[in-house]
Amino acid sequence: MDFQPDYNHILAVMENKRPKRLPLYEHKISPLVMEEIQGESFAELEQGDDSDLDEFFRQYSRFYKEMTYDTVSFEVTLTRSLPGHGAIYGGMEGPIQNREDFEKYPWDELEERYYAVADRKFAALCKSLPEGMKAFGGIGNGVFEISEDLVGFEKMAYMMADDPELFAELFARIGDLFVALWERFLKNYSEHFAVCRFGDDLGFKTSTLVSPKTIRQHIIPQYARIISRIKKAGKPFIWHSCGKIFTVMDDVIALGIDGKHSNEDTIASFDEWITRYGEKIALLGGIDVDILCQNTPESIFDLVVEKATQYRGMANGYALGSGNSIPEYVPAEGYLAMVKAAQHIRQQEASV
Amino acid sequence: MSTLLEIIYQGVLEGDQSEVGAGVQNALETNHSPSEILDNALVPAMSEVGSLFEEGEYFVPEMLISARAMQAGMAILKPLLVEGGVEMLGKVVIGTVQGDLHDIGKNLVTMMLEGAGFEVIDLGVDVAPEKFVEAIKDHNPDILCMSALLTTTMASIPVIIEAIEQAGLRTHVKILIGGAPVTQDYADQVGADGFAQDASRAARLATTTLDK
Ligand code: B12
Repeated sequence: MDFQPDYNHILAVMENKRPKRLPLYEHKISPLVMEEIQGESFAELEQGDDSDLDEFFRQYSRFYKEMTYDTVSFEVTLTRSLPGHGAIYGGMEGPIQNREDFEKYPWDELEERYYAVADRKFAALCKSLPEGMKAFGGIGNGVFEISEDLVGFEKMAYMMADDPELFAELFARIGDLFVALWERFLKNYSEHFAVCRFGDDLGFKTSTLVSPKTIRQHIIPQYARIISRIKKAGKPFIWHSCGKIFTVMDDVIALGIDGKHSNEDTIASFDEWITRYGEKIALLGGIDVDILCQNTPESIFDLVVEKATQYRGMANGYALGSGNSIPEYVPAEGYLAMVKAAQHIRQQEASV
Repeated sequence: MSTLLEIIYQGVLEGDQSEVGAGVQNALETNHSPSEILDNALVPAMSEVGSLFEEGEYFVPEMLISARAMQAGMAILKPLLVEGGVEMLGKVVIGTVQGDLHDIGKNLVTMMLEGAGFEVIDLGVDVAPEKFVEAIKDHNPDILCMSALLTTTMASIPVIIEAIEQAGLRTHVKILIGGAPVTQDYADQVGADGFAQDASRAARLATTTLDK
């Protein structure tokens, strides 16, 4: 099939307009799923030297092109560069438990630590982008997730009660770090990125993980600092956040975000997201990860054709993809059925 | 409720662990029995915390802080309850299933179960089916709770139930399940005894399950 990628379709989505053809979008695709589909193993090259990295991204970007995306999603997560990282996964304490830990944490080294890893990857990615494509992403993780990694979710709840001043300073310090990281990112890579994004899971099945009041007081102001930098650099911004976060959506929309990603059917149907916010921002995704895991490729295809046609009709800016990501446990055939459904919709529209 | 018990109750609601600790000491010194303090102050307070969570007044951190305050009281009461031969409401084994690392929900369910008066044995995350089977043999719990947050790991719930059946233990325990992708329909489909969508309902469900 003769597919010409064009990131302008995604830019149209970000302007909350209906692009000429239905674009695909994915937050993350496990390289293991890519390997299975491409029939070539390359995932491990991401850990290798510069020429390995070049080869990794050649395969990585080629995959997005072959699957008929207009942009290549990529981020380098911050958590991995944090000394003492791991509390976000649970089962351990983070490196900051009290003021002394906070004071002696090597905050000033974090930017360099991050870019020591990230620069090589971003540079290799930028080189690999096929004609007509740009990258979509940036610095992985958001303010809340970093606090979960530095302190630990449960310990953070205790810190909030026991030392509210430290709790407040922690968020401000994380905000400073992100501002520095994003400024450098925008300076060096914005030309190659069509859209910037960060992911910060604020919710779960029944509500936000911390109260809306805490989010407004400590998290939103830091988002504002980051998002204003991104917008000043002329880049659209999309926010990825899981869970039932309706109570803070208006606050985040007020920061000038252009789009939102992540949805789960057990929380709300995707049409509810469109009905609530479709006038104001673009909405990406729509297909619950469960659907891709639990159905036959045939029924996924039919279901996605039906749902994506509906979403494209309802929303202004919409791009089709999973509600979260394609982790390694999503069957390759299930994922491919979704991609084929997108292509089918495009063909149908083109033939009318 | 006496003023002293009221103070403990409020202390749990406000998540004030030192107030709860001191309150329990005071109550014991003024001849309130350990089980009276547990049943008339700590348990109702945690149940109220659960209701506030369900109503969206409290969030996970507020629950954790309240649970910590309750535990400050329990730390004093537990040895006395054991000494006095007071039976806990029941015994629960809990774990997040194999391949799954999500633990916040499971920990919260654990705390609410403890708050409701259960003894809880927490197997942690990424728990293999045979570990669940062993734990049933070792601890003889009334209830087994499984948490799963991923579609794939949810699919191991029926595998675990099958392993429990194979070991001839299915009639010994009630099985409750929960987590982001889990629904009541799914629980019915895999033959679990119950499902709850949040930690507070999980504790209530565990209590009513015992009566069945
Ligand atoms: C925080 C989070 C993480 C954290 C986990 C931190 C930790 N220490 O647990 C991190 C970042 C590590 C993580 C990792 C991943 N995650 Co995650 N995560 C979440 C998130 C945002 C919140 C989960 C949470 O903590 N909730 C808070 C607690 C309080 O809620 P809960 O767990 O639902 O529990 C409540 C009830 O369900 C119930 N309950 C829970 N257990 C039980 C048990 C019983 C017996 C009962 C009765 C009730 C009950 O009571 C609890 C309290 O009220 C969810 C989104 C969501 N909708 O849940 C995604 C989510 C679960 N994650 C998801 C994914 C895809 C992943 C990753 C694969 C991401 C990736 N691409 O690598 C990895 C997998 C790691 C692994 N192997 O487990 C997807 C799963 C999709 C699917 N259907 O398979 C979700 C649903 C997000 C989405 N939008 O789709 N994640």
